[in-house]
Amino acid sequence: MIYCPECGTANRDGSKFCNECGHTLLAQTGVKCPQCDTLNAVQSVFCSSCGGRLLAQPTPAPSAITPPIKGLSLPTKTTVGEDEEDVEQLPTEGPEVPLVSAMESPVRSTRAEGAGELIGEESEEIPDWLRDLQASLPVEPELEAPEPQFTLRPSPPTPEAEVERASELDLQEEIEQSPETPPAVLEEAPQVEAGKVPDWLAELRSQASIAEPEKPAMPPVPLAEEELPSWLAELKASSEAEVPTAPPMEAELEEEELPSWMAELKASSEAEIPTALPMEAGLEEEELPSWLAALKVSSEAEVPAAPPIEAELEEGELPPWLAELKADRETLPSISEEGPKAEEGAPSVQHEKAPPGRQGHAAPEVIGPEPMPPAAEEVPKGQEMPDWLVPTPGMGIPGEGETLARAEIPAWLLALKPRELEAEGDAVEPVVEKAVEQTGVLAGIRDVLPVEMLIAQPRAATPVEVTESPFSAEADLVEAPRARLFAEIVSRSPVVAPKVVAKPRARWLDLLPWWIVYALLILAVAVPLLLGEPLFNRSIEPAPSVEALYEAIESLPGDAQVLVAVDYDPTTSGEMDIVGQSLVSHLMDRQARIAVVSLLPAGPATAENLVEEVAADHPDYQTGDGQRYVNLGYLPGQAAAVRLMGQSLPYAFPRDFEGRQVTDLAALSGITSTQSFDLIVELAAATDTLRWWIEQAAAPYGIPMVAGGSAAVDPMARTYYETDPQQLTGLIAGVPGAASYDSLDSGGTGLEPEMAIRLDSLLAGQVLVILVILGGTIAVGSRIRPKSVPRRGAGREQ
Amino acid sequence: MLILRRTLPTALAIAVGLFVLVALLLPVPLLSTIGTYFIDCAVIIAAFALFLGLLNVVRVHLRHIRERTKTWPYSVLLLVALFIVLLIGLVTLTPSQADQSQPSGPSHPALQWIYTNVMAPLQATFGALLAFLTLAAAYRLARIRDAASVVLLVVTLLVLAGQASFGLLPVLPQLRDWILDVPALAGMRGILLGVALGTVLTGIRLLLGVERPYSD
Repeated sequence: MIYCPECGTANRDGSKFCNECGHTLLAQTGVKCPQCDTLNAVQSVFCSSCGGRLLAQPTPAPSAITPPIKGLSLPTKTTVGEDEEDVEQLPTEGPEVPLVSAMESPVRSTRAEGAGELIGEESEEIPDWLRDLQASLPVEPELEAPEPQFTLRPSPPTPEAEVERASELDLQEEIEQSPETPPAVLEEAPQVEAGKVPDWLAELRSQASIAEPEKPAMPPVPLAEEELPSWLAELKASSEAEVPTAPPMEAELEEEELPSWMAELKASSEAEIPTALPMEAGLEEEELPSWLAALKVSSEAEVPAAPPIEAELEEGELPPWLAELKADRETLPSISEEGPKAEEGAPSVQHEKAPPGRQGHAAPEVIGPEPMPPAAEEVPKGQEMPDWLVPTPGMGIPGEGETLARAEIPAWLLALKPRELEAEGDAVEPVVEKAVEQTGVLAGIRDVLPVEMLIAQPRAATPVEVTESPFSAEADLVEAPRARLFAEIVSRSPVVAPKVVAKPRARWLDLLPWWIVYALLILAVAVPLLLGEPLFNRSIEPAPSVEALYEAIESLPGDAQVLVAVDYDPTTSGEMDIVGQSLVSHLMDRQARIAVVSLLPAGPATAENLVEEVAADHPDYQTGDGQRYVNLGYLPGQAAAVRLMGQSLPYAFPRDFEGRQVTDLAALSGITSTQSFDLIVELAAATDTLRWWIEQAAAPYGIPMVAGGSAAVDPMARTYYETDPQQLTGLIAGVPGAASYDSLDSGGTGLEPEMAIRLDSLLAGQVLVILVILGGTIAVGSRIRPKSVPRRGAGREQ
Repeated sequence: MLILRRTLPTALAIAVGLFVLVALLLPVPLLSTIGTYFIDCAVIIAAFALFLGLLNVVRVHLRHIRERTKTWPYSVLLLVALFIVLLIGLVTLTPSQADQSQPSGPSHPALQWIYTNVMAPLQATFGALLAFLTLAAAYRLARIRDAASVVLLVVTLLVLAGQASFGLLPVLPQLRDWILDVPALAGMRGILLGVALGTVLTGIRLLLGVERPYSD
């Protein structure tokens, strides 16, 4: 399990981020093998790839001799293997590798376990009384972030430890069999039979003789007989004379068999199961042994979570082992100091430089702030344990004047070390890659949750191949298929289904092929023409506008100069030629001098054809010599051109359509501008040209103007005719108008056959159009809008 | 550059427009002469615009040929015909020294032949196609949705019928004339008034420099 340094939530091994708060767990992801750089699971001891040792092999203690603790009056009892089931049995082989610390429960007390395990490491030398006291201590709360727990590795059990363990197991069995055994407290406590020397006492004796020579580096400081605490002295005496009693918490002996001090302890334990020090038993003050009273006093005096190691004893009184602990405490940094430094570092494990006072000891496997309590063998027999020592050293807060030795910074702490501190020279070997965002808005920021690459990067038209996964190999196996699926889905172009439009119900008229309709139209128009004879006898009644136009031309004086504007092209020549021929023919009959002009590029050529065709019916009208007829050609500029002609005609037309000098032509003799003409005849297929001529020539200069246009021009042209004064003197529109004009020109004798045939053809075509409109109305548009539907605007309808 | 692109064209347009307008309103010979000159410049510019249209046609179709679009063969045919006619017109622009009486320029017989036998029939064919398109459009012309659509349909049929029965039936042609002389004329007058007012407003905006279609 990996515990989040932020919230303490337990996460599965291999997790990169906390499931609760999302904090990065990269520093605690695994242990990097120093030999093959393979990333192993946390709490691994050996590398899964090369088998190399991941955890440092603990160096044996320089001395197994525990210096006696001055002033300690507790009976010592060495029990070995108490926590061995919790400790890995590590072989002594293998290279020394840095120890990687894993995040365990933050609630667990480092001191308690570390002390216990440290005691376990040297279990054969730690007196049982000390271990029991430490185990019975309450779990103190953490001052800061959860402490890391380390996979401490105890030293291999010594033969004495093995013996002790066996004895304890026997005792445990006896206790379990006994009905009076206290249910929860110290099941491992051995039972002491009457008259039998307790194993712990025997052990103590043996250790007392062995401990000193096993610690040559720490010469014991024997205490004088008079310096021994009373309990120790008693113990010594009882060990020689009588059966020693069990520890107070293990009171199994009969009352009369217990020594006094043990009986007292038993009474106190029966009253209250001590989780704290035995001084909390509730005994009377005067009943307490001296050592117990001392402990009680110290507990009452608001023992802090980390009671200082500073001895109540003076400096000179401190046993060597105690002095050494004190020195370690002064040199070791506290957790608060180490935490932020190692935040960004890799969780590699490095052993900090061993504290100066503990060079000969085993490599400190616990982070520095808490120097471990002295080993049991370091506590000299007969010495009284100072009360400050009973609660194991606190959170590494050094006392005044003390320095702590620099402890080894575990890997998880190094992982938290900021980069800037790494640059200062600390050799931190990252285990995993730092989570630095590479793309997107958060580029360059550390510890950003990695997102799916297809989201962070602009989506390309083609699927993005995720070649390098920021996750571990195990995660890739799970996430890769999902990532590929996601990439495939995202890269797909949206497929818009075509909107299904309901096909309207087809009617029989809709099924009629349009080519038949077109064929009917051709037949209707062509048949009268092919017949060559009028189908109907028509009686034409000319409209007033037609008659006015006729009168306007008819009233022209002889040799009148008329300006004819041919503003249509071959596209509309089918209709306009009929209208133009009527008017030009009448002008030729009147022998007027005609000047043709056009505002369209194709107009002059159209006019030329028109005049030639009409002139063929008027042999006495000469059009080639320039006496009666002149074609001025095309004048660009639209309305501006008409305006320019109104100012000066030679300026507008230096030459005519044939290239002759305008001033040399008799047809234009005396013509200086448009104002000089007697009449303007506009042949317009569109409304624009008609308006230009009316607005720029007829109206400003008062020149009489008549117009012959297509049926489409008729509605607009009538507006100029129906004015007062009239802006158009006369108007004919379309083939019917031309027919009416011809009937007037013929003197009322009726239509000419050719005109009648044209009217018959027009009639047939228009009848077919009417039938098609009616059919379409019936087949498609015959649908009444319900009243509930709001009506659209009138303009839209048109 | 900003002056050349914005300020100068605007100032020129305003000045010329005001000049022509004042010349129209005030019968001063000098103003009339200058105004006439400006109008002549407009005619020349319009003629040059025709030439620019010709160049644009050539450019567009050359691109079609270069890019091998679907209709690039027709672009080749168009350009070939264009240059042939242009060449003939340039050749016949000046009178022949051999026969001075023969017309030159656009009235040259060669160009007239091209117009009479090629251009006129083609354009007339396009005009004739309109009849068929009009016929197809007439099929969906009338949609009876409300009263207005009914009126539209009825009026359309009456006008067509009056046109068709010209000289045959006395009622329908008169009814058609009435429709054109009264309701249609009224509507058309309203349209023309609106067009005139819009033209005046646009002219004022141009003279005041509010609208600048000729500058950036």
